[in-house]
Amino acid sequence: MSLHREGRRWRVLRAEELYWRRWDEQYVVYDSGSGQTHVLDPAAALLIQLLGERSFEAFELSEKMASLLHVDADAEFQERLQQTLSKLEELSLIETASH
Amino acid sequence: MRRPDDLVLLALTHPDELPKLHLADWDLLIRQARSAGMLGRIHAALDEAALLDAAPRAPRAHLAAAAIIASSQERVVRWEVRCIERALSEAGTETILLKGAAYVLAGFPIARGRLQSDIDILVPWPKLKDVEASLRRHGWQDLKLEKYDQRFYRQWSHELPPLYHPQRSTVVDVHHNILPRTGRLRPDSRKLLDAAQSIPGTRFKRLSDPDMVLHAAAHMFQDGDLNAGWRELSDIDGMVRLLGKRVGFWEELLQRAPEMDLARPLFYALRYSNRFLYTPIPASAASTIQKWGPTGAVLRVMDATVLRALSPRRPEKTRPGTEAARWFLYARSHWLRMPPLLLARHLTHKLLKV
Amino acid sequence: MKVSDFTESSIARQLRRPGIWFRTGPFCTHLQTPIESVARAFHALYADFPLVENDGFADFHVRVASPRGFRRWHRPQALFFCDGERPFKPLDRRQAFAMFEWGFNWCVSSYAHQYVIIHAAIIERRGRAAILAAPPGSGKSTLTAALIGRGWRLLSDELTLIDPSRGLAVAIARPVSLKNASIDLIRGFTAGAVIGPRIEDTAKGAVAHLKPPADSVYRMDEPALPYWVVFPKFQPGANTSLASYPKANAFLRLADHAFNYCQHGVRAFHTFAELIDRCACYEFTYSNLDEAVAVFDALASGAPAATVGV
Repeated sequence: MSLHREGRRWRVLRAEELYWRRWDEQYVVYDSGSGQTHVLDPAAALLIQLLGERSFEAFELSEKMASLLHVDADAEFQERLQQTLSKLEELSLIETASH
Repeated sequence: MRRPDDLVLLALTHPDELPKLHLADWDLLIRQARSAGMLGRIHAALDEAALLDAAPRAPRAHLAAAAIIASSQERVVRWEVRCIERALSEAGTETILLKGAAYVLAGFPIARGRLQSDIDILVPWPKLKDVEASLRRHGWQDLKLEKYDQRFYRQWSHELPPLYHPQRSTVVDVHHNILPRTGRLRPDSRKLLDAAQSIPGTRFKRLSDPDMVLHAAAHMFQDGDLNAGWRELSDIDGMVRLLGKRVGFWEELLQRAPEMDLARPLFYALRYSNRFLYTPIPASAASTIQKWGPTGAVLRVMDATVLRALSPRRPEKTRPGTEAARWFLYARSHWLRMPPLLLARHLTHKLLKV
Repeated sequence: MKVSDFTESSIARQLRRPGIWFRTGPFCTHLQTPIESVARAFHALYADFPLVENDGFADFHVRVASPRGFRRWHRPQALFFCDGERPFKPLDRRQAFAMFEWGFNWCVSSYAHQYVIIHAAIIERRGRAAILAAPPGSGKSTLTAALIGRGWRLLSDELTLIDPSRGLAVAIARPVSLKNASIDLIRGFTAGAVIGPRIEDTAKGAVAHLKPPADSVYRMDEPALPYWVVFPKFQPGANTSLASYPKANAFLRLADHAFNYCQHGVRAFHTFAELIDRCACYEFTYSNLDEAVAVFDALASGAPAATVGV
């Protein structure tokens, strides 16, 4: 699935409700809205940090992430990014934004 | 009319007296309050009066524990309302939050320390199917009820059967009217929807000020559940004190009650709220409301029944008459709700399960 | 005054009426029972616990009773009440003491929400506590029983209670419940172990209770700071192995064992975060109790994990 056809904009809308801790390479985040606690890998945590600053369109997000992580934004990367976005949306950590 | 000799009542009306209690009274208060679902409210009352530190250490721990449970339930309610909002955004229907969820979202003081359970919402009758479909699309399912109960709900009652969300273990009750179609009294839910008020921070609305009081009164004196007696009465007391501050409230309430055919439940609610919890009622309003109640023997029986039903629940030391009193109130609620033939079938069925 | 200052028959009489008030850590319990087997086991296993004056308030009013009617005599049953609530179905009266212990755990985990409550054992040595968290059947109680027989102080075998304002664990020091093969295993392992009656045919098989060491009871008002979180698993024939466990995973795994993590909300998050920050976290596999004890003793003496046990 190619991200640039997506067109959706993503955002973290409740950054102030999230509490973070980090141990070694993993992040534990408590969502005081839903009451859920999650363990996230560094990439997912980075995603949430970026989306907490402003909204991103999916393709734009993959370019930014790829450059920060020093990898190619190839098909496999975009696929994994899409899966991560879906999962984070399912957990109500990120939402589709209107702008 | 006698007032109940009751520590929960004392805690609600004179929290400043609590620090003078002996430990044995605290022991009884904790049990009675817990049984009545009021432990969190008493913690809130003491906290608001800056009297928590005056409570002895041992009972204070129990109050603190109850407060922790209550505040987590408030968080659950807020989140659940968000989830329901998201699910219903596509159904495009006006939606009113009822009872506990409304108190929480509207920031009413009575929400503090309150135990919450299901979320109750009111939607227009024509939109009921769309709402149910949207909820199911977002993961809500049927709560496992016996077949008879399911049929009862759909055919005779004022609700869909409760819908359960397995991921969050939460329940939403979708109403299209606050009293059943088959009931003797028939308030019009379109009027409720038209008068509804917005709540900051959510798309959902709440009932208008008078309708909130009337709905609480109807719920207490016509619905089947009277175990929550102190809690419901305390809600009514709190709401009247809060909403009654607004100029025009009492005029609206007195006009609305007969219009919605809820004059009698309001009479009862305010009578007992005023007698037990000292709810202030302006003299002019009181004389009108007085006319809406029964007189003589009927009133005396009701007084005695309610007094009994509000008696402290100590399951091991229940006075023999109390269960009968509760049963009478339960039966009366159902009598009002359904034609007599159906009542016999439904109550008998319920009895067998016990 | 302690329970053991009274004879068994005196205790039995008091338990019948008006009941006995005693303290286990922060909780004052009022216990009433007419059932002899409960009185006998209570006298033996709660021997070192302090009796308290009835000052009017008890945290729990507990009754273990016989039903009215024919189940009083025909296949007699026992009922458990806490504050008049009856959370369990009736059990065979021979299981009455086990019912008391389970019921007591129910009371604490249902009402004591001023604490963050974790379903885990907790023991202490040299001022540092180890939390042992594992699902039923992993041998957690057996390991706990073995360790307290070799110098570790018992805070609890089932309920780790953390005071969220200080991060300290409070002790209850109640009897340790043992199942099936563990009963004889601990009898053989710990010299002088006092074990209550063997209760058959429970949902968990045979159950018996180990009297807590007197020292653990005398020190029950001493809280302890957790320094280790261990996820133990008994595996027959396995080598003894203590392996570091990633902290983020330990956080979630331990929170999974909590009764009221959700109820405490962000406070629970902070409490667990501080706990995990401070604690070394391990997965522990063992099949031999002596080796297991040696591993924990090495932890207590400050040996780095890499040199421990494996």
